[in-house]
Amino acid sequence: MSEIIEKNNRKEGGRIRRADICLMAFFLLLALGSFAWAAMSRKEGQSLRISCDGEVIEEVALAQRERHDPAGAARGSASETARYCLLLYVNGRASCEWYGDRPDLAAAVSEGNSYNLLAVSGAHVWMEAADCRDQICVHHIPIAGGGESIICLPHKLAVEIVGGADTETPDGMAKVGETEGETGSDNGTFRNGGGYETDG
Amino acid sequence: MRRTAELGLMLALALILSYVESLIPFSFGIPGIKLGLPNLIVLLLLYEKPDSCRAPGGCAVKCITKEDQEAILVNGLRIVLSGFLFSNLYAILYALAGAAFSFFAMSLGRRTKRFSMVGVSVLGGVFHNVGQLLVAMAVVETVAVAYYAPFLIVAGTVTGAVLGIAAMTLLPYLRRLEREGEQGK
Repeated sequence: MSEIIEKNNRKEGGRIRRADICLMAFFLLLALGSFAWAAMSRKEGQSLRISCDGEVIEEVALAQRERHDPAGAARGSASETARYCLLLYVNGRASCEWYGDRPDLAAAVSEGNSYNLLAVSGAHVWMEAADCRDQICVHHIPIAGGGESIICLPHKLAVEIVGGADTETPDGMAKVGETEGETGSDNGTFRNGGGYETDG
Repeated sequence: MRRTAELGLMLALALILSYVESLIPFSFGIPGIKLGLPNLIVLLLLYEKPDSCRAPGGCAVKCITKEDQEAILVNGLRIVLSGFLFSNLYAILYALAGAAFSFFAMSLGRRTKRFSMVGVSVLGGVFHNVGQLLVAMAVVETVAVAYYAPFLIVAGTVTGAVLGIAAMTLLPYLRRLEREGEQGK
């Protein structure tokens, strides 16, 4: 009896099988394929869309972006001056205001309101500061490509770069559904040989 | 009674792994990727007993085995407890969604009997991430988060493989402990 069990143990858990390798190869190819597809479907002439709880609250054109240079994407690179967009949440409604310099948060944010401070420099967008619990949006790498986004889940905030000027809708207000295919990523910076990361 | 104590031990171990994971300061700029150490416990619980679902023809997909029940119980408690201990209610909901997807995929993957623990673990890792991505889409009400999908699939595959190999290495020792415990009874 125990031999049968032993044999079965080995059969079931024992060693890596061909099917495992196939499965892993399938997933990796799937990821690679969607990378390639996203890279090919990228468009020039993009705009920055900020939405809260599914509702678009701001949409502005971004500077034409050059080929993404990962080194230049480093946060706070001083080569270009950044503009800042302060998003305030008052009674569950979001509002946004633009600043030429980094605003003084202590003065701009009144008691009890939460905020996200977004920075835009050239084609790069990043979250400068936020008072959300997890700070995932603040740690996010700067985004620059079509379809990339920074999401702040605690504030239900979505900052997306959408293909603007040369999409079918001339006013740049492409519907959310149309951006589905543009799951663009940028070259190089991934970022994640091992794929471990914090977050809940 | 003995089984209850064993499951309690597993729960404690899973909680410690949750804690260890929350201490590791990884940040790759892509949210949602993590090692998933507690999944080690789920895998071990699924495979701890030699396949109990082996009656020919019977209970291929339908039946929920005892291993399934135990793994769901331990993992559910682990998520709720670690959520209250180390994070917040939102994190619990995300973790539950991820765990549900992940467990469903692993349980099915195991029943096909085509995969070893590594393959099942890879399935779990990828589907955990897919589940969380779907919840994130529903919460933020945007499909923009689909941009993360390729990253999350790669991460799920890699972390799943690593954990699967670890679980596979641990399993013989766990079974030996079980046997010795039963003989000593």
